Amino acid sequence: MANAKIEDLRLPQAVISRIIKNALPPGAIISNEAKIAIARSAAIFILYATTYANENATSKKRKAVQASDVVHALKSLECEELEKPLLEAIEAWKNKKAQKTEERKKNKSATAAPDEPMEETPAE
Amino acid sequence: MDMNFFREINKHQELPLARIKKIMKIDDDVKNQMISAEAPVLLAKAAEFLIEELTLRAWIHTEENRRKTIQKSDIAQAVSKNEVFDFLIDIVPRDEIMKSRSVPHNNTSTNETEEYYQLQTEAEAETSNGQSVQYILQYANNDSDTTNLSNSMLHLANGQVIQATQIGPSIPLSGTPGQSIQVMTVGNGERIEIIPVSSSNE
Repeated sequence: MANAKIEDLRLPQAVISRIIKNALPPGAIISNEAKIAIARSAAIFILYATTYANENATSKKRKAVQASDVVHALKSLECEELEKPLLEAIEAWKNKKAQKTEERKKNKSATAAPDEPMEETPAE
Repeated sequence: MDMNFFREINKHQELPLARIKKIMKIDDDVKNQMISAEAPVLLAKAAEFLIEELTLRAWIHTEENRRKTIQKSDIAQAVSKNEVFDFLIDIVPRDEIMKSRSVPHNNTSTNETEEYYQLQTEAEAETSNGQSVQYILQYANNDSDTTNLSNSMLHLANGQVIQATQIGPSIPLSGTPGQSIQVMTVGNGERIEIIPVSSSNE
């Protein structure tokens, strides 16, 4: 249906490559073609999960797709084992965001700060 | 210590949330919906897991074939072997399907005198006198239905390969007296009967 758009919306190769490389044992190589296939698969997965999440949101008459909808969608995609690490990831993200806003406040009070904080603390 | 530090930094390089939100908006039903800020974060993480899972599953097939490089076919195999990846079957098509589609299919022939099936067997030696010999090939286990014969390859025990390409309509097989019928048994229990037919323009 929206195939043309999907072609446009490729996920960044560099990030995909890094994730793949970290997953593989040292010495393993991946062909470019395979890398593209994986990147496309990831994009389709996001789209697919979104559709499920949206269904769940509309069935509950909500106007926004929430985190719980995404978790629900992943459950119906038989990815239950992902729930725990995902909830951890969202906690980490929230912490990071809170830290960022705090830093921004500090920076603003000190000088006319740039948009992005200089240092990002690894949250994991 | 240092390695861990770098790994932490590497982990920080995540999939861009804006891009993920764009992908989510491709869905026409989601276009008018609002997306909470957490949803792309979750999907980014989930997509990361999917990439890792798919990569490792493909790597299993790469190792099985004693290669060091993951090919697209390994991913196709990983997708087809795991039900979780069912939704990717159209995205990463299996190579075999592609190959069978590319086989040229000749059904434009209207010439009755053409060979119905082209056989490459030792019987070709009989054509040394310049006369062309025609063969009709039929599966003996199912007399009425020869449609499944199109584009089939038969491997005989002696290593010969018969390629049967259906050109014309299948014709009923009737043993004419005086003609020798050669019956070959193929490994899987199917039998092939070969009957020489004289050329109709003779």
